[in-house]
Amino acid sequence: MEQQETGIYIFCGIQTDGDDQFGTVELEGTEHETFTIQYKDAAMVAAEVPMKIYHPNKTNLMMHQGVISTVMGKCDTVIPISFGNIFQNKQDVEALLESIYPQLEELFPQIKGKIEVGLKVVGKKEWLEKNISQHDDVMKQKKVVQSKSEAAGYFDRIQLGEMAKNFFGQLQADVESDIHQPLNELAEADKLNDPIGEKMLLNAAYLIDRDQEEAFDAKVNELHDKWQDKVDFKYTGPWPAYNFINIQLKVEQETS
Amino acid sequence: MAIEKTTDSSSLAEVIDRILDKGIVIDAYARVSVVGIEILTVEARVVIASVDTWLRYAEAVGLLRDDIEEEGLPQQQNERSPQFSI
Repeated sequence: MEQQETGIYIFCGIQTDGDDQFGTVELEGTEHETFTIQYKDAAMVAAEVPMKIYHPNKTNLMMHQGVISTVMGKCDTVIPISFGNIFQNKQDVEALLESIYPQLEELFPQIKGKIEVGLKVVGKKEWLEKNISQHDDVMKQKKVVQSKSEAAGYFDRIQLGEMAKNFFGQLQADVESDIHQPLNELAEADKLNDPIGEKMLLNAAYLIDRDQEEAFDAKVNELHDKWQDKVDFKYTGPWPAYNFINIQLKVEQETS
Repeated sequence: MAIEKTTDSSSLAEVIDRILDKGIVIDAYARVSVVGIEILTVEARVVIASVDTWLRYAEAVGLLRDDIEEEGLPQQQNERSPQFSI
């Protein structure tokens, strides 16, 4: 049988003196040893795997994140790399590491000992409906819509939708001042992402010091107690600083 | 009632939210500016359908329940009323 070509899949960058062991990773049914590729005090955590495109299915995504979790358990300065990057050989990874080293050098002290946590706040349907029913202008517009045929009421429906959007905008502002602001005071940095879906009122990531993790958890709990009849909290972590590292590598097409 | 952080590995949605386009991202069709590097990368951008319409906000609070919810909202407004398409 023809021997399959292999490539180097990379998971994350770390700051290290070397000699790290992060075990094996199972990829599509086969165990592969992970290893590091070092340049100065930086290293890439990688594995040698069959050279092919890996699809972002559940197993593969969890495999990638699983390795990063293991690394985070042993190393306090982890720079996450997005899913699915595989290089021809170790020399290419070394060249990459060398070329982005200036950025890594700058990032290391900023993320050392820090973790990311995520908080999504989603409005409960019953609370949202009860809340909007107290807006007289919206209820009046709802009656207008109901009184007309579907075709005749088209613009009235659009108007009603705009009112609903403004309603959500107000709720988002309330959540930002009442939930996000107090948390942000405990965080080193914050990142507000766009809400996913209409009922989401906050989609935030916070970079916190590991020493502050307990205090931050306590604050989230305090805010959850206050809001739990109105909204659901989805609180996740610890993550590596995905939302706080943005190195986009893209370059000129190779010209020949 | 205490709320605990769910760990990073237990939620696929949270993982997807991060690992596809955050951190160090290497462009699919570009070569890093170091001679000789060949890289394969998956075209793995999540395409979030443009659901950001006002009508969907209205649906989210049940304002349009009577006439629309049973059949679900149309994919786009203009599928329903093509004469008003923008």
